[in-house]
Amino acid sequence: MKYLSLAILLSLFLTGTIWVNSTQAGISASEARQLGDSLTSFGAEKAGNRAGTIPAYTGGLSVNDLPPDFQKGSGIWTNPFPNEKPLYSISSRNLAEHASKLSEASKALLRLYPSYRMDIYPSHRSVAYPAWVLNNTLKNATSARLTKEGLTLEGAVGGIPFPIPKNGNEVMWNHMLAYNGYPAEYLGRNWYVDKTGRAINTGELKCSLQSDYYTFHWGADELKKKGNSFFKAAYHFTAPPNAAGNAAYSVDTLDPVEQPRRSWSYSAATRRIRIAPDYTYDTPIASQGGITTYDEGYLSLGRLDLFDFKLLGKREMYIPYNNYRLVFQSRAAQILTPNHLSPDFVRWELHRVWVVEATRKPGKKHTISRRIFYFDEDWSGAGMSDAYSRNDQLSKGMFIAQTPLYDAQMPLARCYFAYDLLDNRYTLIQHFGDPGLGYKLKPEGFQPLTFTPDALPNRGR
Amino acid sequence: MKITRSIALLSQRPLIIMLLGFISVLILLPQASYAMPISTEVPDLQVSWNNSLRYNWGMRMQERNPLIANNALYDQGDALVNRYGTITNRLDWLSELDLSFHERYGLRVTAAAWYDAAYDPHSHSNPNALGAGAAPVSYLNGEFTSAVQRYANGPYAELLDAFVFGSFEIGPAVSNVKLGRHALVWGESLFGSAHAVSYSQVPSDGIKAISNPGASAKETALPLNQLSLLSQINPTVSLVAQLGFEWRPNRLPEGGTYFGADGVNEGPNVNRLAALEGGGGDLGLGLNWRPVWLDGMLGIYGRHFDDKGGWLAQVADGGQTRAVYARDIGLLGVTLSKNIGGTSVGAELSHRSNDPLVSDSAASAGAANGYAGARGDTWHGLINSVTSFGSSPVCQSSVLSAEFTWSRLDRVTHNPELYRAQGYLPACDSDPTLRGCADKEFMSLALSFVPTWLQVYPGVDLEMPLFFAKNFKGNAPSNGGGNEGVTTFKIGLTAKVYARHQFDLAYTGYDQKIEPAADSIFGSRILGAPYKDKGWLSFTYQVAF
Repeated sequence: MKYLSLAILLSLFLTGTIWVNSTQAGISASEARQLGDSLTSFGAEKAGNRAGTIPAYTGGLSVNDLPPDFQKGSGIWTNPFPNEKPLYSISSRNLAEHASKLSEASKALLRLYPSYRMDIYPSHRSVAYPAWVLNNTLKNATSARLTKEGLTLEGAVGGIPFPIPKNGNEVMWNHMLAYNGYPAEYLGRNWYVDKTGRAINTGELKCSLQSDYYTFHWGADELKKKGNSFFKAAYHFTAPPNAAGNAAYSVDTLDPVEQPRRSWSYSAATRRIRIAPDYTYDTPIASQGGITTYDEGYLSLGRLDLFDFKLLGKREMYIPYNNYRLVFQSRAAQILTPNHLSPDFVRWELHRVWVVEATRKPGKKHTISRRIFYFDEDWSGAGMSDAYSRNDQLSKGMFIAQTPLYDAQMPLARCYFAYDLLDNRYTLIQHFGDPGLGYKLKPEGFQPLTFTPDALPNRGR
Repeated sequence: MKITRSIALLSQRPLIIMLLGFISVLILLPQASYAMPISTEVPDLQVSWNNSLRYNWGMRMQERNPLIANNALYDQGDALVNRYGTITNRLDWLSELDLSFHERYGLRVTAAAWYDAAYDPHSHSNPNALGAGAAPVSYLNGEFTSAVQRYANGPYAELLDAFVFGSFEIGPAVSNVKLGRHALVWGESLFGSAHAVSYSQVPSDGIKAISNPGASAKETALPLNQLSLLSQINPTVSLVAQLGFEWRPNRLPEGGTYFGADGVNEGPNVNRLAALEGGGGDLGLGLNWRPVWLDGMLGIYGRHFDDKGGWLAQVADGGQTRAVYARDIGLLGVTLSKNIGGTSVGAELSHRSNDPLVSDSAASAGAANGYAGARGDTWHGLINSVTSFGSSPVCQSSVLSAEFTWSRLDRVTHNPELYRAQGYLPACDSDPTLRGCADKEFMSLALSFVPTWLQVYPGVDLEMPLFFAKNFKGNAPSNGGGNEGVTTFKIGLTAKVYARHQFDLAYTGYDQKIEPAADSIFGSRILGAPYKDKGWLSFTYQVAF
């Protein structure tokens, strides 16, 4: 493999197709001075909007904002805005009035289902970061760079890599590297709802998550030496019964060209650990009703080589935000209504988002020809996407439900949902609202040798 | 140690009605989440109880082949069911209880139970079969014995897994230890273990494997009492070890049943002496090494074990036969696993010493030498791949698995006069391969391709499993290592409904070398198990709850 990839790289180099796109490291020091001034340390606009509908950033929810019913360590974060009422609702009737702030998928859902509605709540820029993440972000601003045609990140660690992004790939990396609840262990359930309205629980997973990028306070060079990983997920199924006891482990790195994702699986029947083949790109995920593909985890995960990512700029959009009720305080049976999630539980807010258009590269194969991504300017992990299938027909909408962990000063955006707009089904991933489920931070970290293939038998049975 | 016991499961007549009722109730029930976790009052104690129920129905689709039906070695199993007759109508239940404390220590107990309503206890045979006087009989007093009844009919239940486990830290090492009945399969093989590092590591339930579609390795890998260890020394080096306390043989389709050869094994002990069994001292030690530069795993394994498959009809005193299971086989193997360009690739090379070889059916080494056959040193290798494909014009996704297997004789070390091969035994002088004599080299190929279509109907995913396996060169030198020409193919259609119900319809067919033989008292020579006319259609329904 090493020789093979070397040969490929060499041939690419010789034909001049590589490195040409390597950008200068980061932005200039003078441009970086905007950070902490007109921009937040992580590059968002500090000020609110003129209309007053988006507030200024004032540091996010603080540790003093704990709701009275929050129990630290419970794995459940309760709604810090329990008494707020929607400012207004958007339905198919007043869609036109709000069209400029709706994603194409949101518009399609409003048109498709008379019962679909978006309740718009007051916007809260609730994300807070610990000081060390902000310090790293400031350093990254002038040192981070993308190489290998934007596929590989170098010179960044422990913070948002591109607080002032200049192109689509940088925005994609900012999203993939959102500071997102690490290290942690969760027990969550995955669902899909078929077009007859039947909710199907496809799995209950216990998952350990770690980002070496955010966990060990290594420098970028040391991180690179120690595997360059930004996302490690080790999990085992606790349901359904025919999968219970099976376990898997996967690693994503900052250099998916040299170190592509590796996964291992453990079979409860034979107690055997095997390296997995790649499940990537447009292979549909059966447990998500075939609605999403393997490169759509958290909207985008994996090598960015099949699409050209064009930065379209910033817009004010309604995105799911502060969805504590949906993620933590609802039973699946309450929210999984036919055709779409119960509008009573989905909170929408107006936020500024970075918009990126991803167009399939000529000659590349993927069931999706084009995606539009919308990412929260505060890099909370929140965002959404519109996907267009082969004949440029709008086919899918994806949304991330974010819930900052106010006591830990950490964003969290693990729960997401996706609508198949052509086949009228949807899926909800990593729901923590049913009894016994939850998301637990592990600030003390994991036992050594937790994130290895040979640790899988300790997870399974 | 006999821990299996019979339980009354279901009465025969209402089986189908009950089953249909059960399926409809399960499908019509509003889908809640799975309700297995049992709440306990003890903090950090987790208990879960999972069950799966499987119904199988099978129909013979082929006419009898006279070369099989008229051969007295195989006529009884062939006579059992006519074309379009029901060969199985069976319910299986697998129950799994898991208990864990602090997610570090725990207990697992599983049990399987079954009942087959298609079972016919009465003897069937071809009165005109050739060589009847020289062939074994599958019945006692015109009926199957209780051993056959247990596996082919039931109701019967047996304990499978029964072990405790724990995770311990000793210094920087983290170890996972299991003690009790559990199955363990090392190495990288995908389809079968005859030439793998995991050869004879667990006995296999060959009855369920061939006649019970949908049975997973949880049921077909028969657990043994043993102590096993996986110890991570550091992120790149792990040790695995195994110490066995129990020996059990492979289960083979019994004589006179649809997939059996007449008279073999546990079932009818007509004119047979008790088996000479293996012991319980299997040892295994292995090293898993995952150096960063390799981006993969190298494994080195050493094992010392007793055979789980045997010479099944060794000539003993007074013209009687007995099964003999070879003891003290040594194995050294290296394995490699690596993701190459998105494909998961596995490879193994192993050398066995004291390996039981294909042996003379008319003689044995006698009482003083444990009625053994020939033994020797053998080489075994395999290479396999698993590739996942995304969307194509034909299907949404698919998985292709392939495995090539190879074996070769190194040398004969014991009882060379009993080695059934050209140059050793006069009976192998002409047509050695067709006569079942060992060849120097053996090769086999297996392919599986499973295209998938998701949400074809609301809540329904479809798959079309295709399987083809052929031993394309030689008879393996190792006893039970495979015969040239033996071919299995399967084409199926699977519907997965609401993530918990699964329906399978499949046709399984077989091919093999088979020829009339005027010089044989049985009138024909058949290489491998007599399946050429056993092609069958199966319907499987399974549900987990």
